[in-house]
Amino acid sequence: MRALGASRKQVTAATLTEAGAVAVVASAAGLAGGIGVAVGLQALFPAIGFPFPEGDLVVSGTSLLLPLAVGAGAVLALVAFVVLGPVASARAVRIIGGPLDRLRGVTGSLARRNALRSPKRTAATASALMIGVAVVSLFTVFGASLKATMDQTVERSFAGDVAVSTPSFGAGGSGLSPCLAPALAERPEVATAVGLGRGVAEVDGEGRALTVTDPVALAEAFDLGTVEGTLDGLGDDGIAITRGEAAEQHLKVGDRTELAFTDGKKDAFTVRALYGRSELAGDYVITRDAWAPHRVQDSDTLVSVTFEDGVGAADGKAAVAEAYGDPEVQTRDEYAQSSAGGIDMMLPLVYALLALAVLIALLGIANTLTLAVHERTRELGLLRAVGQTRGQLRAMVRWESVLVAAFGTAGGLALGGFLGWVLVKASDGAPDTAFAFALPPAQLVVVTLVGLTAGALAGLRPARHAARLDVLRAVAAD
Amino acid sequence: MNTATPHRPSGAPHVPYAARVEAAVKVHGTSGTAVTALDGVSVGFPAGRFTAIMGPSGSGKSTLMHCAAGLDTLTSGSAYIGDTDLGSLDDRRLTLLRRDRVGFVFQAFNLVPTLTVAENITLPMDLAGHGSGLGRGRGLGRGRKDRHGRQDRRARQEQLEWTEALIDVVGLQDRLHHRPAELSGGQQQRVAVARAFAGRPDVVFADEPTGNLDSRSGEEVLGLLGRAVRGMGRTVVMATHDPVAAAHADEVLFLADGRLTDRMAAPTADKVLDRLKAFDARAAEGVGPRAVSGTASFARVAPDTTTGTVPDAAAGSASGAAPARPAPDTAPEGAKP
Repeated sequence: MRALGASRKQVTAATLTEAGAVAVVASAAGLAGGIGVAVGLQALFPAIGFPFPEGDLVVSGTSLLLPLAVGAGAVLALVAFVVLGPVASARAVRIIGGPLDRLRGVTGSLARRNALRSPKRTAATASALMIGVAVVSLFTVFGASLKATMDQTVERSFAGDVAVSTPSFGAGGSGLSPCLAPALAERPEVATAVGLGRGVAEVDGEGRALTVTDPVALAEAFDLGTVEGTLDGLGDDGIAITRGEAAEQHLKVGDRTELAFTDGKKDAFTVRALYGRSELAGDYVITRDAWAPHRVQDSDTLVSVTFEDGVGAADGKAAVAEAYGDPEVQTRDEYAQSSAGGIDMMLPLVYALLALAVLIALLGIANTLTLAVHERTRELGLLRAVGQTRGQLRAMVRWESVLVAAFGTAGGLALGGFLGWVLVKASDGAPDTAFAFALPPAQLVVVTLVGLTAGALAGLRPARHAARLDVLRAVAAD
Repeated sequence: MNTATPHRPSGAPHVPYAARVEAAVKVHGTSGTAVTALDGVSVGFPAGRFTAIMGPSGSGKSTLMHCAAGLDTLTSGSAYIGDTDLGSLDDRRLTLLRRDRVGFVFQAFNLVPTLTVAENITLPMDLAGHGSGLGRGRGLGRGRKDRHGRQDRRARQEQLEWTEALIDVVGLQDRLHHRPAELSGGQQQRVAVARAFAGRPDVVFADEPTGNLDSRSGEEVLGLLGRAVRGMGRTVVMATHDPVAAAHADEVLFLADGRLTDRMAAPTADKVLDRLKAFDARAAEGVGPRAVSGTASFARVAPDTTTGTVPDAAAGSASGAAPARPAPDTAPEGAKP
């Protein structure tokens, strides 16, 4: 009984340590996830051509509300997973491990039952991996959804035939000369060419991205939806706003609003038009004349070109490229691809995150298994005595490890996918900016394989340790 | 001094031994703290017989069992299961030999807690099977796919009948799908007995199989071992320090200080007890205070420290190997409670 008491104490200590470790891991993963999201978004938005304020980052109430709502949902989901973990682990391991019986015979069966022995412990052990995988799959799912949304946006609202964009993205970098669009428009193949510049100003005290362009040409090249008022006469004191923004700011056609520019000046603008679609045109449109006094550097980030009837895509593109070869000239599809291309930049970051999470999880699984092997010394000795070979014993421990990891991975994928879906749905607030939800199969397969491999690796050391156990220790009776 | 090897198996050519050891020496620990557990034992366990090994704690009987069964290796000398020299086998082959040709009943912790009774019984065979899963490998049929030839099927049919007969004998039909934790100690030992015989091994080694049981359960287990030998032609080697248990055997070997000191055919509990009383009382004290139903515990045997030899001249042959060391309690097993 002394031995039993001692081992129980050990188990308690180990469990507490484990709980602490899991908490630390979870916090670390959460923190890393949070920072990662921030970094990722910062890199992401300019890269994919979403307007991102150039001035100081402004934290506003409304911009916090959405993450808060999403965060609350995420916390709820996490709590649910922690509470349901043991129940889920028993169920999941039974299902995941089902084929093991058939595939690996008695070794598989024993591994499965060992993993099922303490569902609580299995759940706790798997939770590190689960959280890591959840963060990573949340990233990939959200990234894939952004990509899909981008594709959809370009598909829907980009009316031009080719896009000329700056090779380097980011705010305030090199741009296209404002002369490019008019010059292109004079080519015989080209019907219209409209250049879009970027500006930033505070509207009603909040930082907003402005689109600086020729509003009439803009309407020709982009699908702006239903336009209320007129885009013809914005002049240097007129502004066009999306209907959504206008509603939020309580503005209608004819109202005046004040824009504070980065050079410190404030000007009153009259709302002359409201339009429906904002995906590429942005929420606020002003003319070049209005922007000119406040600009630091006059440049366009995108020139949309529409060809004359009868001019083929290849011919037209060649003509534009011939005239202005330096900037990238892309057809619609290429433009959509490259717009979404920034998301791929995030992948190394995501995989680094995965590697970190997996490393931590791997250590946790290995430790728990080593402990389990220690606790089962007599049972393992018995198995060896009645004919389990060292190889079978090692395989048994390794499969148990893989099962725990498989549960963690599956749970993480489910959790991450769900949170990704919530995030996408939460971002899909405005009726005119449909946010598409998409699952990236290849990346999720990679995540799954990495998780399972981690399980197999984590089992190596405990398995070797178990195989070295002395058969007689089990057999020698007290 | 250790020249007396009166029961040399090779000296009895026509007796087929299921297991035997020759000049077996086992030294535990390294030179400084070395303890000799087996000091040149040569003995054979005849097939189809029930042999008991008796001796006080520290006499080396468990070590002898372990070495003869391939659970432990000898320091010198050789051990055989049938004609197979265990010393020539690597760990893997030794494991396969234990799985296929040897059965075990230990004092406690005989069963895998995650497996049902049925699965525990067929465990060695399942371990030998390929991809058939627990409780299916030749054992308790659960409608497994028939992928093998007719001959194999007949062998499996035989195995199935054998296993079912075994389960009948040990009386566990209604417990087959229970977990070990749901069984009493006696039931668990009966499952262990069924497991030991299920693969029809050359020999079953039982190490204090009744050590943790009350006398009634112990009697049941011993009865099963006896029936397996006399009714089913199996071979059993049992280590015990209980004269009542030893009385179930066909022959009792007496071990002391790592040497074979005596043997007795057709034992009864009283005869065995008398023989033990005659041994060095100090050695007997090491046995511990566990009283066996109706019989005196060894600890209560009047101490006789004056002789230190086996006084029974009729047993004669073993007297040369009589215990001479002053403190047999310090032998390895003496350290155990």
